[in-house]
Amino acid sequence: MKVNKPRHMGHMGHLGHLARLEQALLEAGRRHPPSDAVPYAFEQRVMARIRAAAEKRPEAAVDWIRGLWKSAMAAMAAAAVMVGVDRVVPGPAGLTATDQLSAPALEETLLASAAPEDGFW
Amino acid sequence: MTDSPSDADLVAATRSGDSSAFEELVRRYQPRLFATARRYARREDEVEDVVQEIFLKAYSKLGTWRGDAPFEHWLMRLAVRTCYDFLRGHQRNREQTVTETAPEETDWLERHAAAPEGASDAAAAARILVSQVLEQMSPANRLIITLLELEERSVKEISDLTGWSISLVKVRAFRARAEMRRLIVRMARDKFL
Repeated sequence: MKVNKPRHMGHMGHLGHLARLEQALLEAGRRHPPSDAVPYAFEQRVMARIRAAAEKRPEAAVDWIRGLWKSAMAAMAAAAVMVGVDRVVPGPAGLTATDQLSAPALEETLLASAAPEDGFW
Repeated sequence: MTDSPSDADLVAATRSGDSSAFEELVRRYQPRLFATARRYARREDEVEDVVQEIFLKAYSKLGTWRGDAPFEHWLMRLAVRTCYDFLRGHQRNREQTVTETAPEETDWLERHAAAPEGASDAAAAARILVSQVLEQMSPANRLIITLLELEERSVKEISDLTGWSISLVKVRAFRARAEMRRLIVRMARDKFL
């Protein structure tokens, strides 16, 4: 098909033509909004998805609590083992870790650097 | 005959565990949301997915509706933002090129080039051309042109719907018009340039 191109259209003519084309296209878009037709039983499908999601939610919560409980049990078991080892195996000079962390032992450790050594004076 | 319950009544009933109240809200607003989604998604299965997602989000976020603005406005904000997310997730659709223009659309462009007043604005070919131009635009620009030029909304309304500031909407509108003009020039170059 032969293109009917305007032969003597200058730059301003092109711009004017483009503006008219733009307006014509937008006007066509405005005059014909998309259809608002709804597929058959759409609301039932939406509600089924909502109910399915609601049923999954308690299962997810139960799984999360179960995982949390398992982690807590593992930590408690590790702590129990460490306390048991501390009771059975004596530390230096027959002291257990609990004895070494007692208040007099801690004070002695902290003040060791400040205490005068024998024969210093 | 009893009056149908208000949106606020239905939302309150849904919050208290009556899911059939939400089904009534779905029935009430689904035509509007389908028309909105069809502006951004082309295939019907995509349109349906988008509308389903809007309603699922609405259900899970129902607690955030404070009731100081109409429920419809709140729902439309959710709809526009979901459609924008859809556009951003489907940017490959923009790869459609001008070479795919069908003979009917080419014919419409030629008739418009020869006699702008003679080419009917209502022609199906013109509508297809608008869709082609919009599909090649960036998601933000497409959203702005759709809301501003096709739905003829104000800058303030667009700001409310999108969550963008008024100055950002104006800047994006300027860029969107520039991109649209560029695409129209590319599409129509052979016809009258």
